[in-house]
Amino acid sequence: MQSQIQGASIVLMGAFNPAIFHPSWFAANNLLRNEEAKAATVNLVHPDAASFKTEWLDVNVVKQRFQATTVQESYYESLRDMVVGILGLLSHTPLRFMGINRDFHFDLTSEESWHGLGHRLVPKHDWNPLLKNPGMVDLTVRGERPDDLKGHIHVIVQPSARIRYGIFVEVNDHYELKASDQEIGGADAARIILSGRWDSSMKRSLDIAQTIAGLGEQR
Amino acid sequence: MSVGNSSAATSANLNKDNVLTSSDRVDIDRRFQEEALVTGINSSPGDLTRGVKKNGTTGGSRVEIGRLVVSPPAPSAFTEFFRAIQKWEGKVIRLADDTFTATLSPIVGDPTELEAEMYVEDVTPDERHFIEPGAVFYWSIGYLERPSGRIRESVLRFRRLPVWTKDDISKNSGDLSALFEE
Repeated sequence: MQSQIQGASIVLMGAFNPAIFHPSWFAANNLLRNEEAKAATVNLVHPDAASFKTEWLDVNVVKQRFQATTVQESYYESLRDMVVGILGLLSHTPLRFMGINRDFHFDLTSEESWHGLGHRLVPKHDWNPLLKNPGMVDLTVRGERPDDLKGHIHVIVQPSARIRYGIFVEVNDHYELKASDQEIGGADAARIILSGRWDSSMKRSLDIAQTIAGLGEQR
Repeated sequence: MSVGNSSAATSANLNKDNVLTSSDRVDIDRRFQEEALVTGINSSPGDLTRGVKKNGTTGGSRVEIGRLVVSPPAPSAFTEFFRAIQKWEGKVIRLADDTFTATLSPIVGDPTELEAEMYVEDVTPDERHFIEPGAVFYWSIGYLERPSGRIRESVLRFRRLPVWTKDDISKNSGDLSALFEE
């Protein structure tokens, strides 16, 4: 099953200086094209938070959290490269966690398939005595990582807010990095993961999402 | 302390310059760290690398600015979405006057490796200086879904960092355990 809408994001958690995350800094460091930086919409750049958007990229930073997002599939690799570049420039940034996230909206095309998927993922037998007409609105399942790294994988399934009879699937490929809050480090690990594990992470997330979406048809 | 409780900021003192004192600042930072690192309820800090989405009513992290505690803008709602039918990673082999030749390794779509001659004019002017042997680019053909309708689009973008390719990536995908906690 092919998704109608999809996106990808990279989330880093550690200690950031939001004030530097201005589009001009990205352009000056060859992370964005000059024209992109000039045309960016800057919502906020402040010592406590930064937020800007280009035609393909959305960046939001607070002191403890960095997130870069795109919904243009043509720019997924550019998103990765940009974050790898940031981690190279800010190599001493203490980082504790990283998430490589993909999200998808699938059109299940019929109300029957849509309800069918909800019933398959969350059987209502035990809920019916407790609630009138129970329905699944948010399901999160956590699994251990299938590789040698520390962290886990979250899969979130919700009704799509964008597609009637659609579902939203998000896969959070979560990595625990080496540094503690007090230690310097973690950026190298994040950079190496993004460089070396990106393709496998993206493929795994796609496989998970497509498999879940396909359950609605198998009922 | 409940999520959304703004007492940390409202109880802080301002000095004569209407700026938070350092002790209050530390206290707010501490409390901010305790309660503000949530993208949703019932989350622990180790779970917070999920993207903050505009699906449902999931909120973003809160941030303290001066004496206010506010939510930073959530990721904007995109109105245009690109869906790739075919996507390649390209690597420039040689350059002629107005064309260049590149190998194309598929990322999405038909898995056939290709070699193609492409027009320099197809590259946005401020990326043409990247066109030299060894340079890596990404080329996607697909649909751009817009509020006004769907258009077919081709997007070509050069990698903006030191050159590395899928071969380099595979060399980097070995044992990473030394970089992580036991």
